[in-house]
Amino acid sequence: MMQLDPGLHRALLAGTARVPLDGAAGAAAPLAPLLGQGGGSALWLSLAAQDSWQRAGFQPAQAGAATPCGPESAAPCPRAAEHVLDTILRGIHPELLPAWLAHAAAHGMVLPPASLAALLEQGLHKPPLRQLLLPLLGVRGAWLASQNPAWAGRYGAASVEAESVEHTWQHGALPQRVAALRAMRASDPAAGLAALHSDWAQEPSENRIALLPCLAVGLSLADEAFLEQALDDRRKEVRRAAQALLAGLPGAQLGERCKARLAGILALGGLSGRSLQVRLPEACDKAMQRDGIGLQKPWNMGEKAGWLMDMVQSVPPVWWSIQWQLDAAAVVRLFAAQEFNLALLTGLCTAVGYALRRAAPEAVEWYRALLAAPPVKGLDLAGALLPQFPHLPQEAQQRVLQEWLEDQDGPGAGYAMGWAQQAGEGGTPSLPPHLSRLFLLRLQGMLAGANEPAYAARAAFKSLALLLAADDLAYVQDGWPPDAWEHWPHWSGLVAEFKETLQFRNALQRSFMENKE
Amino acid sequence: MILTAEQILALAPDAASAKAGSGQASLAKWSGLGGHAQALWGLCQGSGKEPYRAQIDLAGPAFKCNCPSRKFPCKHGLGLYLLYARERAAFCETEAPQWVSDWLHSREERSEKKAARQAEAATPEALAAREASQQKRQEKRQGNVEAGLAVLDTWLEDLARDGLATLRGKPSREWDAMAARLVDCQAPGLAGRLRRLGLQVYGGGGAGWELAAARELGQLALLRRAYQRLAALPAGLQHEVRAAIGWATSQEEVLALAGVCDTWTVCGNRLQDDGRVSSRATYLRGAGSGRWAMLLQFSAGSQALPAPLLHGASYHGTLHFYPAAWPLRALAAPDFAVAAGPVAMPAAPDGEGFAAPLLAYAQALAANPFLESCPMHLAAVTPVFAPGSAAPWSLRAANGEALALDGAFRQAWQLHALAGGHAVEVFGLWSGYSFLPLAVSAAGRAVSFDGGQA
Repeated sequence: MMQLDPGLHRALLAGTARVPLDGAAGAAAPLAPLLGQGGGSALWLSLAAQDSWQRAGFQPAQAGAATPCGPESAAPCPRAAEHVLDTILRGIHPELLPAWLAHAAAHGMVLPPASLAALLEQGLHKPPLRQLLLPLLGVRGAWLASQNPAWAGRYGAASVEAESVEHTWQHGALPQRVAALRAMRASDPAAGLAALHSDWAQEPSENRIALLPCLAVGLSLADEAFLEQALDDRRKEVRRAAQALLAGLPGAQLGERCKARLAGILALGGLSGRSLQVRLPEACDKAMQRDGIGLQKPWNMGEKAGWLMDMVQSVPPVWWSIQWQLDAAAVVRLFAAQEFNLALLTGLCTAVGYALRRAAPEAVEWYRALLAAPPVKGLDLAGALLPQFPHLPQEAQQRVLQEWLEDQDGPGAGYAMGWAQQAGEGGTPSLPPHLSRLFLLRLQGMLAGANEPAYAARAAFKSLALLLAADDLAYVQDGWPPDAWEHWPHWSGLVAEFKETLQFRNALQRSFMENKE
Repeated sequence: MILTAEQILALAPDAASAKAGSGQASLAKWSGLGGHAQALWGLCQGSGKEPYRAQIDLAGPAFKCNCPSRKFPCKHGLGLYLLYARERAAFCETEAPQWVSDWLHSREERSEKKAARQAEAATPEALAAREASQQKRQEKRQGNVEAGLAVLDTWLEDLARDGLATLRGKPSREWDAMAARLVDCQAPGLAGRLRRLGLQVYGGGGAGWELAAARELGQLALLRRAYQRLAALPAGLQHEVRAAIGWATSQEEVLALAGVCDTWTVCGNRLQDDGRVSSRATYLRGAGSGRWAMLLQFSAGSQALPAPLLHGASYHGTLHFYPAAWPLRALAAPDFAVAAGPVAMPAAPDGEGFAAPLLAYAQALAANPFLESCPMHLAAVTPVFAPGSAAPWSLRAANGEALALDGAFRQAWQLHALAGGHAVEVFGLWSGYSFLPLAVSAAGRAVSFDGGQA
């Protein structure tokens, strides 16, 4: 910026009426005799002359050298991929940014320098995006992030070190402590339990409520004693969390106690021995209450039926098979035919959810058996089961999706579309070709069924454009109504956008294959 | 030269058009694709019954399509070009159909007619008549401008007496009234500068705002003084002063001057938007002449700017410079078109530090003291970040000298990321105190910035 003599600066701010003007103040010797003339404009002309003088004779300052960035060890991404990323950052298909980053990670490539600043800035306020960016920073990204004070804290190496986990656990705010405890449990469950145990008595109840569920990470029988103790906690929420954890822990005493109680009130009977008789418990004693029975009071069943539900959910599903020598489907049928089917099936549903989350091998069979259960009045089994769907192993998910889509008139297609909508929001990988074809048929079926797209159809097209296989798009070309179809004007925009998104994804995938610079 | 997909998308008027254009670039949508050395054409099935006829004159490139879109070029034109860039084999080389040759013909005709009109206007009688009426208008305008400048004198004197410290306490209406007065007095150049300065003064501005304002007010007073002595100034400077006050030189006059034929490389673009008018200044450098040139494009309101010249591309043809003490602004002659192959940039002057470019700047300033900014090409500089200082970013040469980056430049971190702490080639504008980068080329990548407007 222009340098100004203090006297002249004062005159400029306060006005020449208050500060007498010396136009030549601070001016270089050759300039001085020329200044201070010009009557009322003397101030401005002096300034203009000094400005020109300084600009014409500008002397650059000296600066220290920058710390250069070291050479990149990972491969740069191909130019075509860089171009696709640039397009995404310019606002064309921004929803495909996670997909681009996933491809770059899969190919072991790092982010191109031209996009680093924009991406680091975006990730600043989006933790999920930041997680995707971190492994792709490369030498250049880490070098850059370390220099910007706003980025250094978010992208620095410190966040993953064990030492800082310990530090966060001791000094962090509650959400950070929750994250730290989860991290500890993931690397060393026993150490995590010990850390929680040592401070447990001093923790305020809000902290106990938030921290206890973290034991779900790496849960084992080693945690049982501590959880049994938590069943006597003053706060209902803590007791509820402990009960849920123990219920999902096979071999735990809580499960055994519930098994004993259930054995006393359930009996296989009937002429063929293929019906279930239930004698609801008379009362809920102290011991039952301690095990969480009667803690939740569901609105859609009686109090005693609620106790039954609580007991059923605390028993691993496989126990029924062992007990009665029946497969999952038969047990589900038996429950569904019972008078208290609502309580039995809801409880079983929760138990299957626990089994899925600990990846019990038999859980998939139970999940599918429940899906196939005959309809029960007042019970929305699908609604209870769909949230558990992501916990199914990949191939089981695909098998279930296939069954849903091949199911001609049943509710399956609806479930599949519901899943697609949720999956489209996260960075779910592409579907395999056979499922993509089935989904496409469903989409094309929507055209046949309606003159113009409803809201649900728009949502389905949008989310499936992100999920269908995009390696080879030949299959997307066929199966549409003929060009002369009268309702095309209503649909063509939606279909064109769908195809365009798939094409963009296709280009995105191919761009990583091209190795020419 | 056939453009790359990246360059084609850069021709789109906005991001939505670029997206729609990429959507049109699939073989399924097109029929009757064809092309020859001069043009490309194809039929695109839209929502209507008849397919749209899209065609491209490759020399411009110029687009035409009979779809009703008001975007220009429309998505069909972009899609057609993108498709050609990707699937050249799908275009059979044939005679152009009637509708294509008609259009090409009409384009030729139009340019011939234009030439004829120009020739007609150049007859002695027409020239004399125009001269006479112009003379009359000029005299009237001169009177108006004199009156306006007298008011400006008084206003500047008052401002000098009262000082700038109390300025922000007064309503900005008074400031705008002065600018409006100058418009009425047919001095739109001064009015524009005053209005822009008003935005700086009243629209925020951190420490040192009074210095920036003082510089600009000094320039206004200097311009006013120069106008008083106009006849005594060298011819080139007379043009600069008149242009700064608001006399426009008509395009015909400029095109009538001798042009400079060269191969011009696009070094950078600067976008500016003052709410009423947006403008794009494109800076070019001649490979043979080593001269700088600037082409200006304007659009009013929410209209999109015309298609830009492509950053990094080379164009061959004649540029006619506006008469000036230090000629920079130019107009392209009709022969100005994309050059066949890439052309190497003229090497930047040797020397480690900034002595050579700063000397060139000082010479330019000596020729035209009203120079606001000057294009500058720095062959090997390293961006340096010094947190905590008033101007944290600077460009450092190998000898340790550094030029501060303009505070309005928003993409410093991107520049830093591209350079990686190593020397890179930077093009930008030097204001006399700070440097505004417009383009950088690092490791074979050319990236352009739009002049600070991120």
